[in-house]
Amino acid sequence: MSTAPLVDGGRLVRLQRVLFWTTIALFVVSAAVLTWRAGAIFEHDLSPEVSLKGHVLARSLTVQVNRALALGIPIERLVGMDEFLDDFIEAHTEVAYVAVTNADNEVLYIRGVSVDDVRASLQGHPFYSERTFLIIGNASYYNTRLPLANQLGALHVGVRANYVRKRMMEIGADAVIVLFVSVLIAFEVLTLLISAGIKARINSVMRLLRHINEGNFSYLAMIRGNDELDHLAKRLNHIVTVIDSRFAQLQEQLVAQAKTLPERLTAYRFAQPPTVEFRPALEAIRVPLFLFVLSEELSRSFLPIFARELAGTLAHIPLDVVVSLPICVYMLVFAIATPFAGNLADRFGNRPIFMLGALCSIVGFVWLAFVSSFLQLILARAICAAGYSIATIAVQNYLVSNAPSGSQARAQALFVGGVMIAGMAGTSFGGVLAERIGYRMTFGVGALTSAIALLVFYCSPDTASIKRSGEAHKRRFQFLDLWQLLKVRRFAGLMLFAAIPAKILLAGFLFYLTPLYLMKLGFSQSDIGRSVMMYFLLVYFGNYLSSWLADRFAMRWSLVVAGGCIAGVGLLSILVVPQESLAVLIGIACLGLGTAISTAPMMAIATGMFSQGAGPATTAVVVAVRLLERFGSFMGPIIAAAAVVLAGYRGAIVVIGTLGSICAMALWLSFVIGRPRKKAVANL
Amino acid sequence: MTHFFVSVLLIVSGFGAVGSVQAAKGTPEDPFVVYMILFRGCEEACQGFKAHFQRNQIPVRFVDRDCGQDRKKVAGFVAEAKRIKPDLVVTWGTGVTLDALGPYDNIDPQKHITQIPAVFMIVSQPVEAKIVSSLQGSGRNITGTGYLIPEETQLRAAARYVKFSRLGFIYNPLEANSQVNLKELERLQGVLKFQLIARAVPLGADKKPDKNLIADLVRELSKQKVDLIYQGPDTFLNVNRDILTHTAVELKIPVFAAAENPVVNSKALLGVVNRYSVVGNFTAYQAARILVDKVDPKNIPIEAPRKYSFIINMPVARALGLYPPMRVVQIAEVIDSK
Repeated sequence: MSTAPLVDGGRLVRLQRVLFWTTIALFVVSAAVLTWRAGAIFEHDLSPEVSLKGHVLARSLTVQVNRALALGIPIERLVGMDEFLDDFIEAHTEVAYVAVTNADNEVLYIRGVSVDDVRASLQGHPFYSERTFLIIGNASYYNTRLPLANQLGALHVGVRANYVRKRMMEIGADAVIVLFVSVLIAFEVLTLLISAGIKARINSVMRLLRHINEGNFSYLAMIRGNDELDHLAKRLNHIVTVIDSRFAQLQEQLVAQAKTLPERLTAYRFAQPPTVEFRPALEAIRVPLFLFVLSEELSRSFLPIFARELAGTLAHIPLDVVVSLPICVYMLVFAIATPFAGNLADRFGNRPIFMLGALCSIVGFVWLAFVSSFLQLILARAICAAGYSIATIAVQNYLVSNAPSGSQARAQALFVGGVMIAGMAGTSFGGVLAERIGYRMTFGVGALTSAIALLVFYCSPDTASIKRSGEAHKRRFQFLDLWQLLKVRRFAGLMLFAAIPAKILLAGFLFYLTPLYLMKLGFSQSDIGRSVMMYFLLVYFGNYLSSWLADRFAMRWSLVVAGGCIAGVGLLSILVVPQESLAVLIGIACLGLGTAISTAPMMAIATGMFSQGAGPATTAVVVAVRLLERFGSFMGPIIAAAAVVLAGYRGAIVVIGTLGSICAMALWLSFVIGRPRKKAVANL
Repeated sequence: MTHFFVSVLLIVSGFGAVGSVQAAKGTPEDPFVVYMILFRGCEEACQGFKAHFQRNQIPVRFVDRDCGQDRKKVAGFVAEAKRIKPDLVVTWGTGVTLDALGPYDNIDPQKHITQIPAVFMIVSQPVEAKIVSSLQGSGRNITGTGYLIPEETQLRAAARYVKFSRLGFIYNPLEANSQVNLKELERLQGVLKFQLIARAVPLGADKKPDKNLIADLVRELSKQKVDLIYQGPDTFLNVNRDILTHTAVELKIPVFAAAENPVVNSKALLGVVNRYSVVGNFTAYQAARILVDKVDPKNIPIEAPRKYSFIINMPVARALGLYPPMRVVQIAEVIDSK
């Protein structure tokens, strides 16, 4: 019998790729065109609105100046005009300058930008109409001129012409984010459609054909729907069933005639009835995972700001520390719940456990949308944390138990990729949402997203996990394991100087300090969302760099040290970069890059330490590392908040950055000192 | 067991009694009766008091009794109030209040109202005047409202209009509240960075402050180059406000007043005050707590409203050539009779 492949696998993969990228390209182009068109329409409508706003502002100011004039104060003797006009300009960012002229068109009072040029320009202008477009120096303004009471003079309000452009840029940036997130969602959905919809079907037909080709008639293909591939599979199933029943008839006849099976038939295998072969498409978990993590990440960039708004008076605790509590409690519950969630998943299976987690999240987010006190906020976040830990453990278990042997790395990549892409999409999109529809509505969107994740999960046949062999998973994590592991000095050093500080930097700097600090520096919620997104973007793409580096050169330790250094020193850039916001962005970028290049090698070193001999199982090491990392995540906001209380935001970033740098140095030292010992261990 | 039933019965009947009183009182058919003892007719505070009840649709029948600035008439009103037993008595001003309700250390149930809950208003220093022993609560069947604004708030607001490094202060040395005022201004010198030049009005042969010397004091302050004169809630100077403020305007010195009278009815340039109508409103709010919510007056703290007004006498501003800054113009209440 020939064993030549029935279908050229490479061709199939190529076909899939072409299909996939064509769809994505079509989507991107159409969405981009749509966004651009919408922008043009918007600009067309916005420009007159802005100059009209100049008119409305000028009117309100005229009323106020007239009030003073009506009191009999001579126009040239108005008192405190500088502060008064400054108040006005400060309250309206689009206003570039305000001026009051007397009846002879002499400028009496003027505040705002390039005062001298504006003064000269206003005095030399005839002003035939109320609204004038003025080009002064290299800037342009919509000037609104309104007469003051009794023709005593006039008031001029100048609105920046580029204000429209700036607003457009901001809206454009938001639109790009929305576009980006739509592409990511489309990407995920396409992956699901192709993997579960097409690939899984082709594969099941191929497997059936391969079985038939091998003379094995004991399996049937799984029927997933009612398309052409399903028709084909049904036909094949029918043929197999018919052959099986023919064989059964033949056997009955043989038994009746007391004959034995002919020699040439013994190589074939039949079954009565044949079993349906089910191989779940691993990628099917991606969409629910992506949506679920997305719902959590939506609030990432504004949670501390929201907490600050809710935090009232908690006696004797500084506000900054109070604000860190929701993040700390979240991380704590997350850490505590994880081992329990793992055990639950072992006992009840992944499917009900994921659904339980998603339900927790929905409840948590709905509560968050309506929370009325700080305590409620903390409790709701705790429910979200429990939900997140339960659901993500269920997904990880699903991937581990369903991945064919040898595909564990791919399964892990599926998980990490999903989390990272959701992080990118969620933080940026969440910022835009918070800016446009408010914090509470964004939590509502989170609840909805979790609900959709639940629905997609529930409806997908691939999420039902197959029965596992059991052996590898019997052994559950125990805290004793953690203690045993920590007794190994090099492991303890790695945790203390790399794993834990990495998470302190992440939770303390990125999740807690960044939103609050950028808010204080006057950034919009969308800006903050985009800034936090940069981290996930760099981690995601930096991972490729990291694995390439790690594979090419045997330099895992160096990568971990370098990652820690980059992150720590990056935060310290605030000491030398004069512009604080830029320093924060550099910090985020360095944190992302540092995390990207150090995370995977760190885990590889940790598991590698115990890979030989009768050490603890790899899964136990992974769980221990995760647990310690979460301890770091818990400590991060507390340390950051305490530092803010003592030294302000800038000081807190310096403290966290110094901590990171010192840990990286300590790791480097212990690595250098520890090296000869490694040989000794190897010799043992 | 019998005891138990008796007590239950008592409690139930007690509630019934309260219930019936509540049901009977404060309805359009049987409105609350508020007896008002006024000093100079139903002016802004009295009108503000009544307006609050009207706005909140609490049915009240007001019995106005005006002594026409003659405190001797108060005794007769007290007697009448005891006879008709209103639900609440309102007194206007420190003098009327003392005559009707008595100082807390010398209450005479014959002369003073003790059984009927009472609320006072337009009393500048209730503790110093011995109407109550503490602002936390009177401990007797009365409460009331103040109207003065803390000196620090006043001066900070004043500085938004008139920058001053030397502040003149003329006061009646015999008035307790002037002494309190003086101490607080002395303390604020360090806080707000100014120098206080304080002058007591000298006493005449009758051992009373001599009003004829007020103008001399203003001239002396002018020589001392004060930037602003502070006129406290001093009764003597309030009566003689015209001498003080007119002399000051002649000498081109602005006057800041702690009460509205010198600004509204004389020539003080500015004041940061609780308008009487606002005080009346706020007093009515406290009165409604007693009538409607049945709060015991002795537990209601004596406070001033916090909705103070910045008032400016515009003719004086023009005369001094000292115009209010734009920021102040937007918030101030301007007295102008061009």
